[in-house]
Amino acid sequence: MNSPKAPCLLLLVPDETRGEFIRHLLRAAKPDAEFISATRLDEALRKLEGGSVAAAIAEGAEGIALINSVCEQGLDVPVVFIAPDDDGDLLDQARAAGASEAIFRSELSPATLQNALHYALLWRAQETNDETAASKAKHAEIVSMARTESLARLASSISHEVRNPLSLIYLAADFLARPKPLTEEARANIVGYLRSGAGRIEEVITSALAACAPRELSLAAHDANDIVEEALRLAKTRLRVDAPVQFHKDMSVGMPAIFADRSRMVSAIHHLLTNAIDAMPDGGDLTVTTRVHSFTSSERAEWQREGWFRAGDVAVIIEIADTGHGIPPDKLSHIYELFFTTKPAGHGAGLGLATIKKIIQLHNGRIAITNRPEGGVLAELTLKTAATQPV
Amino acid sequence: MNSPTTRKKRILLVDDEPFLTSLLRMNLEDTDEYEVREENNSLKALDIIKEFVPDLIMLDVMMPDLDGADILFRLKNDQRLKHIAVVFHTATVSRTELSSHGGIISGYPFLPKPATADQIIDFIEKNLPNPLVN
Repeated sequence: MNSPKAPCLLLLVPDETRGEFIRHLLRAAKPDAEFISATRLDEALRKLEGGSVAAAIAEGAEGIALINSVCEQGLDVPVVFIAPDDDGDLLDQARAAGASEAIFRSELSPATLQNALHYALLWRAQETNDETAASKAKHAEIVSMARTESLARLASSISHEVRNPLSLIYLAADFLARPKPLTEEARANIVGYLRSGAGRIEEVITSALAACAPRELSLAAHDANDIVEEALRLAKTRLRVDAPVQFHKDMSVGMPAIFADRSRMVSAIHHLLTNAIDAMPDGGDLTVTTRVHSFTSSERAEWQREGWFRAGDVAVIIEIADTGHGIPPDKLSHIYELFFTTKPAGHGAGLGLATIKKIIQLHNGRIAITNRPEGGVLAELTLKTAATQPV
Repeated sequence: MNSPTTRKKRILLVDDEPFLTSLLRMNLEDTDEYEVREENNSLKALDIIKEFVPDLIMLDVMMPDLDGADILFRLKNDQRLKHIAVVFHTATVSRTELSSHGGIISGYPFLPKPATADQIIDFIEKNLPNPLVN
């Protein structure tokens, strides 16, 4: 099999200094990629003409114009859009226009760019695959690319997460090495910094090992309700007597089977249920719903991006709703990042949702986590049924 | 060493890692060459810069609220502050990646994390204005 070719990425940012900073983050996000830059729309469109650009990253009003032009001209280039932090309207405008991913400036990091580009490139590859009658060789290449991307993303996350605590250890050692006597207060501080640095590195290693666990799926047709019931049984062991959580179930009967790795799917749903229980330390209501959904052509843009659902596909939707404290809005876009957690230190390594998302993606499904208007979080899994899942 | 007729060099550390800025400050102050302030909230960085008027600002790149590039952009658009030397100390770039750029990205010096105290002091000394602006 040929190794995946390094993607060429186009960066459209009107301000050259700002463009250079985004390029710097992109280099950390996609070290294997080639970059070309433009500061104006016409220049960007000229550079897209050759057809060698795999994805574009664009900022501000020029970025919206680029998305519109790409759609109008039918160019096969996903666009990742970056909006100023105070302009949610522009972000919505970009999504409506067909941006592959839209993120705020303050969310910019190698990890968010990696995620955005990962899905943009996968989406493009999948659409190309569809157009060429889905040859097995092409599909294998996509899977290979996804694995390479995942490995590169994991390596980048680990190196970034380790460099900061390593800094603490180096600087603490350097301070200890100086000839001046230490005060008791300074000694206590230094010991604390060293322990903090070492503890954080240990946590990163533990988390990375968990993330690298074998990922081969053992797929078979299963009743989604059976899987949910098993996950519920496991989750109930987590309940605390002093914080009563009431369970409610609304499960559709007679749903088509889903094509899933049973233990992985149970694990993913169990983890979502555990998150919901942990979000209600004073008790609350946890509602699990299962239902069937048939896709229509009007749903294409949003659903095809992550789940590759088509009009006519029948899916099973599993919803888990809690009445807990919800997720701060400024944290929502980071919840799938490796090592991101809203739980207190020592209560979660930040691998849960990253791992769950991976499991769902491996099933060609979709996960959506949103804050409910009435409070709490809604986790929604959309899974292909056995009849429509490609084998 | 610092002579009685010269003032200490004012260094501002802006990084969202409080333990890191504390350790950096301890190491720098231990030399008796520097007057150091640390700020872990990027939104407060500009106010501190106006009040402290450092000779050099060491910025992290990735921070919540305002990233290093945003702080730099605002600084360079303020006539009273644009002369202040700015360097970056970041975990987003490796030593190998940086060496291919000669240690400079977008015209600004970068030092990758992790770095030893001596490496950081060398880096600061190389990038301080000479003579200091009073």
